[in-house]
Amino acid sequence: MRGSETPASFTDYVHARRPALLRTAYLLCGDLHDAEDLVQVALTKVVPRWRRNEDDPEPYVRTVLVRENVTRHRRRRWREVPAERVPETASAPSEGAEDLLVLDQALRGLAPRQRAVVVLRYLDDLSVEQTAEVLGVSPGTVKSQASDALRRLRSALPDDRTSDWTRV
Amino acid sequence: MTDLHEQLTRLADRSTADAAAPDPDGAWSRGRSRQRAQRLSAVAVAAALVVAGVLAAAPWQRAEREIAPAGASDALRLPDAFHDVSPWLPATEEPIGPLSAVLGGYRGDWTGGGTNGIVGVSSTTGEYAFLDLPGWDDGGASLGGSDVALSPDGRHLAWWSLGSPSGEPNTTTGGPFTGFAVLDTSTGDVERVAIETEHGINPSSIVWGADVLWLEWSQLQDVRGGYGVGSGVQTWRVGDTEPTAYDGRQPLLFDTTATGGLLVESTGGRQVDLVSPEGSRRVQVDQRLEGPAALNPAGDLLAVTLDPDRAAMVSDEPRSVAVAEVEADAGTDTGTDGATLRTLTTPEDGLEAVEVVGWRDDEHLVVLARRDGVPGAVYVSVDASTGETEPLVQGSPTSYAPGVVVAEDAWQGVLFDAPEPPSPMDPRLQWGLVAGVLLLGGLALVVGRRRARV
Repeated sequence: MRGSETPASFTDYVHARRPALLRTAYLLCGDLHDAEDLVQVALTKVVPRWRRNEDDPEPYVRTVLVRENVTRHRRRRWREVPAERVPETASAPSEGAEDLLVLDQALRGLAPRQRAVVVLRYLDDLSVEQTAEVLGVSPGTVKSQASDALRRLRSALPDDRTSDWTRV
Repeated sequence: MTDLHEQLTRLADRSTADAAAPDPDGAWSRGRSRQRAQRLSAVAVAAALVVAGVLAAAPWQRAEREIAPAGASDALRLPDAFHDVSPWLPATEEPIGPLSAVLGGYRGDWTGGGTNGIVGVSSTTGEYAFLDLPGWDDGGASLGGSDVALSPDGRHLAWWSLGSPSGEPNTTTGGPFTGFAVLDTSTGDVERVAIETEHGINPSSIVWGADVLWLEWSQLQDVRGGYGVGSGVQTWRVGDTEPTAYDGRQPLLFDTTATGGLLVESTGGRQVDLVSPEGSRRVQVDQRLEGPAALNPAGDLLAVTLDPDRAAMVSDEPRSVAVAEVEADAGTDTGTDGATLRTLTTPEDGLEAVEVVGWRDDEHLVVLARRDGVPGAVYVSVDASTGETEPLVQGSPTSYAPGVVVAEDAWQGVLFDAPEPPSPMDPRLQWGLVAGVLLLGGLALVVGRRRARV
């Protein structure tokens, strides 16, 4: 039985953390289908080293997720790309939906690693040092990229929607 | 008013609304079968090689073909095609001279598994050979594009090297890496530069700009510990005992090309940074960019691809190619220049550009493009004045990470007819065939004797 081979720690982790990973992946790649695929591939890739990390798998899984996204971005230059996708349907209009749309578009305008800085720092609430670790860059780079990214996001959004963005 | 975290959270909530149910068993099963699948694919390739080997004359002898020694000419040449390589392609034992390119390859072994290898494409002979790189992480996952760096003149290949840290190694993200190494492809000498580390380092980027190697990495702490300290961007030249900290504006070292001593870094949006060891200069363009940018040898034309679909973060759509005039020899202080882009080609014109990779000369840029819907299938020369295109190099049909890495100077080299690499037979199958023939012969002998007795 396939299921009986899966360690309980892996099953528990996937059930508990997959929604959070999906949210991170969605903001990283901007596509629901890509996000699901990204998470699935990341979970597959951590299996060989799972035993070593099962006590605290989150940093490792997150690192694999972010790097897989960057690798995919590069791979698209010289490999076959996935088949055409059906365009996503817009969410039902809700209060603030327009702002979200603008934020979404502004995020899409950032370079992949800069976008990752924003997602890890401001969605996942990682520290500068933790973000630097996941991305494999220096804390100084994280700070400068976060600052630049916020500047760009601010320029795309109305002032009253960004006045609370203070933390770099 | 809401803070950024709240806005991002609401945006991210879209992802979970229609998500499929979690399938941990499926993920686990796929993870476990990854290595098995790799082995099966190696066997399938080997089986195909047997058929080819039977049909071809003396296939094994072809594999023994000597790799020619380094040539006399220093100018890099450009092969007219990049080919897939066999897992049983021989490794070079002698220096093969400057490399036009390196590419990833799956290297078969006798156990039925395989390792990640780097194949060099000789500029002198056009031949392919696996490179034996001390400290290379042949079992590790791709580092996301920073696996290797080939110098513009094809003379030096740099990679992150494995080693023993002073304390308990942290292999959470692979490794442990403890430094980097540089191969001189002409002499075969390998210079290894150790980085003092207790638990290993986490490599980030490795890029050549002329004779300067640009690096970024961070220290790992122990497995249970917190997070490591980043190195910041550093530079290193051949012969240096250790890298030097770069104190200018920190470049991302991502989507980077190089021209002369300048790194050309497209940072997304509407800006390109030109970075040298002395500082950097920013070029602000008037349209949104996606993908790398490249500066011509004269330094007065900047080539880019335009963002085809602002709604997609990294679009799969083919891109338009554009150029902008920039001031040559303007130095690299921290100023910002404005530049106006002029579109040269669009997908509707017939060129489905993926990205700009370099310049053939001051008037012709080189673009990686799709053919028959396959990205990366062909490199095309584009006239920077008229937009006229001409196929230049056939891309690799399939390739392992890090893909095809072409030396910057090779784009300006003489084009030559690239020979296909040899396709040696799987040595296990060769010996298996010998054993099978012997076994069948023995059986025939036994059966013959029994019949003779009857």
